[in-house]
Amino acid sequence: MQSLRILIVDDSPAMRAYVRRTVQLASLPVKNVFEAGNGLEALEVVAKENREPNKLDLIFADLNMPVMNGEEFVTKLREDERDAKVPILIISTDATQKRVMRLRELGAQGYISKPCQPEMIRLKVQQILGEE
Amino acid sequence: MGLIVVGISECRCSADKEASIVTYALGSCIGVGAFDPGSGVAGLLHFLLPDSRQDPARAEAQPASYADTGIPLLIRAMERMGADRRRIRVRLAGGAQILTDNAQLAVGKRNYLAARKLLWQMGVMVEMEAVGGTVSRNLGITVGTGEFWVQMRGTGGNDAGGSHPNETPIRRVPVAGAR
Amino acid sequence: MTEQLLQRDVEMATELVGAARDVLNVMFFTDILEEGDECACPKPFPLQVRVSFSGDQAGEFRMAVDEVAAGSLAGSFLGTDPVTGPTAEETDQVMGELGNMICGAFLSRFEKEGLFALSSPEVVRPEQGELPGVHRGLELMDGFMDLRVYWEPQPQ
Repeated sequence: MQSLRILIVDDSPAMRAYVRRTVQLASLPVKNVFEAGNGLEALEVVAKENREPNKLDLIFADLNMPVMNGEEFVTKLREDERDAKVPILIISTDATQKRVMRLRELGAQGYISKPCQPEMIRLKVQQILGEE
Repeated sequence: MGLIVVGISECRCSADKEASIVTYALGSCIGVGAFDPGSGVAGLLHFLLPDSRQDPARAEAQPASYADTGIPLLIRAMERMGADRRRIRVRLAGGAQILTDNAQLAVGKRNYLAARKLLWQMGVMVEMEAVGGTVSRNLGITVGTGEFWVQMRGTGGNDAGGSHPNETPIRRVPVAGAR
Repeated sequence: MTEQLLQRDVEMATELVGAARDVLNVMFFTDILEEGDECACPKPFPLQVRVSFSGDQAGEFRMAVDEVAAGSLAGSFLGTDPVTGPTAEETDQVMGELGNMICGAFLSRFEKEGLFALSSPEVVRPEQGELPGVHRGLELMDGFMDLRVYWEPQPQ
């Protein structure tokens, strides 16, 4: 696996720390971890960091966030052809069927509902990045 | 081929490619199997209770009795043999509810929670687990290959079925909630 | 009607405690030892988290914890060294996230078909104000927790 560049989008600093720790413990070859507190901040990071030859490999995104929520973020991201291919893994407490269906239609690659064990996050990352 | 048997409240490590490490009759106890593919070091701990504060004298004499003293003992012993904590992969087995009185009921679950907490704190990832239910389990590791196996006795376990009689590969950690 | 409401409250309380247990077991490595209508602990609680929700159903969720629970839970979640422990800021951040997770998990369990938007969790020190609705007091392995959910009446 190549050196990964990932973005963690969550308004909770505690949850960003949890995902960051999981990614570190999972021995994934992570080169850069970027963080954003909402969808709008995340779009700014994407605009700056998702450019050839340094593309982002994966985005972790929460749903309930102020300013711009996860659904709006995924929608906006998929509008731009350059960014449309970055895999998105949603990690949210909101696991209602309607929500999961909607996210899938919008183009999120994976969905993990909290609470979740770290190995579940690692498993999903491996599946998305084709390591399984 | 050497068979290293780990008793209750014991912890053993090996890098001998010909050896296997095994522990028997994990009821409410937890077996913590660990392997570092980089150094080929394997280790196994069979702890009895979650918290060493219950009996500091016993914890001093037999640190492998408790999750909070036994798990650091296991990881550090493996590190002294050349293992790297970041590469160590852990499998858990046990934590069942074997006896029926209420005080005993909680021990298996408490042991499991304590193991998960300690491993997260120490920065070691759990890879798979075969825990809970009402079964007694055996846990083993083949040091040369890093392969783990679990045997079950009793009913009500949640382990996946295996291809060998009485032998089950440790199930993958449930992906409940993942879609 | 009253009986139906009572039945619903019982179901809500069950799902609320179930959601809390799930979150506490999986990400905080602790468990609920006792639950009841009242909490056997000093009040008011020093820390409270508030999350309001809207969408298919509107209402508010509140979680209050004592200092023992707050410190222990935050340390477990972050994997902090047990000697140094988490900072006060980290503790508040983790408690906010814990409240958010219990509220979200509760809504997903109680209204499986629903679609909700949750507010960002607000951390209040100390606990303030009363919230009507369903209430459970919990004794954890370390410390105490108090959970409340208010379900806004649906317009007829």
